[in-house]
Amino acid sequence: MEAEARYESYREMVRDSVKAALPYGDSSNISLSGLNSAALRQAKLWNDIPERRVDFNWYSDSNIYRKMYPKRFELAIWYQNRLESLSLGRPSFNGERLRLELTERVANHSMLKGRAFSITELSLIAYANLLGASEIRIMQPINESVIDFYVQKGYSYVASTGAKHFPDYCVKKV
Amino acid sequence: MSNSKEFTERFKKMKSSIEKNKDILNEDFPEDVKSTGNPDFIKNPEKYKDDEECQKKK
Repeated sequence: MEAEARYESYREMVRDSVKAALPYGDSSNISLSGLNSAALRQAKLWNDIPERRVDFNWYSDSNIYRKMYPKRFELAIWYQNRLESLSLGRPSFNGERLRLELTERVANHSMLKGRAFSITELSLIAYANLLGASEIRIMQPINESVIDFYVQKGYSYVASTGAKHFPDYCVKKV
Repeated sequence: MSNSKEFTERFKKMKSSIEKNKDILNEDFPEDVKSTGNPDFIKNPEKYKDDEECQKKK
């Protein structure tokens, strides 16, 4: 419990600092939180969105992971009172790398189209620095356009070896 | 270096990393992309542990 509280306070520092850096005209409508009960309750509603293609229940499927990894990266992004995006990741065992496992934006209309991933990436970089990690990994980028996007921004793409425990990822030093 | 000194250094690094990378917030991520990553990493965390972590537990 002690570790959970300590790392939640670290995540809160990152959220506060990233929120303060948002440059948008509507930044006051955007807020950041952890995967708290309000976020998980709203995420339950995502299961009813017909356009949604992700086979994942944030409410029930993240429990074990969140208990296993108190140092995890987690982020919920809100626009006013509407949940827009959720993300989870974790540092490596030795703390040198921070990986983003899954990030999802609400499947239908979003006020943060294109922006939710940018806010998530900056938060990931900031949290990596706070943990003392030297590298971030965006695990299993979903398609070629996402890989291209990150490669153009200075990430390297590492293909999977084919082994299940070695999926592909984009990596960058921070 | 004491823990608090070390943390202060990391906190400063965190703040400066935001300043250094804040242009990210103005970059256009593909708008049609609604998710990236793999839900299985979270559903089955035991299956996707670090190599290093697995070795340590052997």
